[in-house]
Amino acid sequence: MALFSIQHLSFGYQDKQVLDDIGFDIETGEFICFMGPNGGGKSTLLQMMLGFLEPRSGSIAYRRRPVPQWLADPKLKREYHQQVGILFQNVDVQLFNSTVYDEIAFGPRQMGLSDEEIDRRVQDCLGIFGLQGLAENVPYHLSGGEKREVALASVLALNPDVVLLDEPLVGLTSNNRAKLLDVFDQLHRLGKTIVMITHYFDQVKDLADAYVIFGGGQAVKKTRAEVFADADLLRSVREY
Amino acid sequence: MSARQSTETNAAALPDWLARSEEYVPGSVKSSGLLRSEKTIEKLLARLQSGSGTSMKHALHPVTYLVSFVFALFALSYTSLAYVVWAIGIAEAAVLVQLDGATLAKILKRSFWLLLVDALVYVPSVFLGAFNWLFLVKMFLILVGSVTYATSTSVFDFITALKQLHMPNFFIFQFDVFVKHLHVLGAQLLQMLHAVDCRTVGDSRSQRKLWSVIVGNLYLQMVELGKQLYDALEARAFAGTYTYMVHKMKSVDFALIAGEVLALAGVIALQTR
Repeated sequence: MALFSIQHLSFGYQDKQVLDDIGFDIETGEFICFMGPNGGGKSTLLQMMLGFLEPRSGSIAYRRRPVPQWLADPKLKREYHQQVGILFQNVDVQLFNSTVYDEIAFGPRQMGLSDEEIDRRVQDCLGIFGLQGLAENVPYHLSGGEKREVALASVLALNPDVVLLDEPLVGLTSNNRAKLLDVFDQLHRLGKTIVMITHYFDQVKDLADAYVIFGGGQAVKKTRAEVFADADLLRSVREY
Repeated sequence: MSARQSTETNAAALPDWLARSEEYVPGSVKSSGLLRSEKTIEKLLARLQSGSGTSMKHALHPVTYLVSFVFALFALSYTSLAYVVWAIGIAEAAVLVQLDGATLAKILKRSFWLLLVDALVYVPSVFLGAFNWLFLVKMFLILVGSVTYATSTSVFDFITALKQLHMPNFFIFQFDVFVKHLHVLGAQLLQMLHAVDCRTVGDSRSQRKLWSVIVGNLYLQMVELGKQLYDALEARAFAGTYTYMVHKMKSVDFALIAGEVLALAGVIALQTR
């Protein structure tokens, strides 16, 4: 069953048409990468999947229910945000608590989990990245790589079914990138659906099941095998 | 947790609970003002970003628009002659009919609400026997003129006009940087609210407490941004002079301004006669 179904979707900023009648499905448990030139509409689509932007025409459905319907009802909206996590490109906007511990505990507290369960989740999430020593630190004062790890930990603490990642590898050292990719790979193996915007094809080529190639207002979904079978396509995705 | 620990390049093994599907059903929820603010900020940002969407946008130079607006305001404030007020009203109507329907509706809606507030303030003077219908008409025309200028002129056009009217460099620079900061910080704030929204999976009443934290974070970012901006300016040899490209005015602009100067002189002469 398609988890997300995007149909005849169009979007533009003022006079500029960014996406023109695109359509594809994202399956449950799929690791899918959005690739394409800057301004190709990758982040725009991600924002529409979260309901931050409204399409000019067409629809995005999550579990067969249109995203606007999920967001229109307060209860469904909270359910949707628990199930669909997002790691923003600019993590500075995502960290708003006084300590790293509170940052990660924010979501579980919202869910009304018991104190023991909240503490367990926070400690586990800190442990994933080896951040135990930073629990009492102010998130704003962390390094760029640490901030991204804390932001991802705070998303994982909600145990979402889908993780949307907006260029999570940008600006990181190769070690930090490797560690994040390891987490994404493990999440994928656990059955989570991963949607990632990236320009690092060579680093994700062994992880992703499929790619959506953006450009010229279009977005075309290709399986990993299709990308590797097409030399021209392979060259172009490496250049993004 | 499994025994595998996090290293420089590998994460620790993920905890078991991440493999289970979360069976979470939100309880009763109330929306908070924090999350409702998103739409308001989106609108303000769009206003700062887009400015004008009118058909007249490029017909005249920004200086001409600004000068015409200031002259009309001055004439309306100065005169007590009914036919001058009507003449300005006709001129404003001529401008309005050139705008597209959506912009026109927006201008009239905003003007109406502003006029309503002013009229309410004016009510006591009616009971005191000091009612003056010309005053209300002038008020309406001033509001329509101001709203038309604000709606049909972008911030960029306004700054361009100020530059070419030889406003002091320091003022323009501060205003320009202020507007850019406002836009950047507005976008940051909006993203923060989106981020809060995305993790608000429970009762959002607790979100009210977050305002102070968000404003604090925004302040820290604003200070950092200001420092970065000044460092960037210094790195590009900024020494206090704000130079800019001059946009040439066409002969139609000069002709219109000359006509307006004459009309304004006429208004003053008629009033003092």
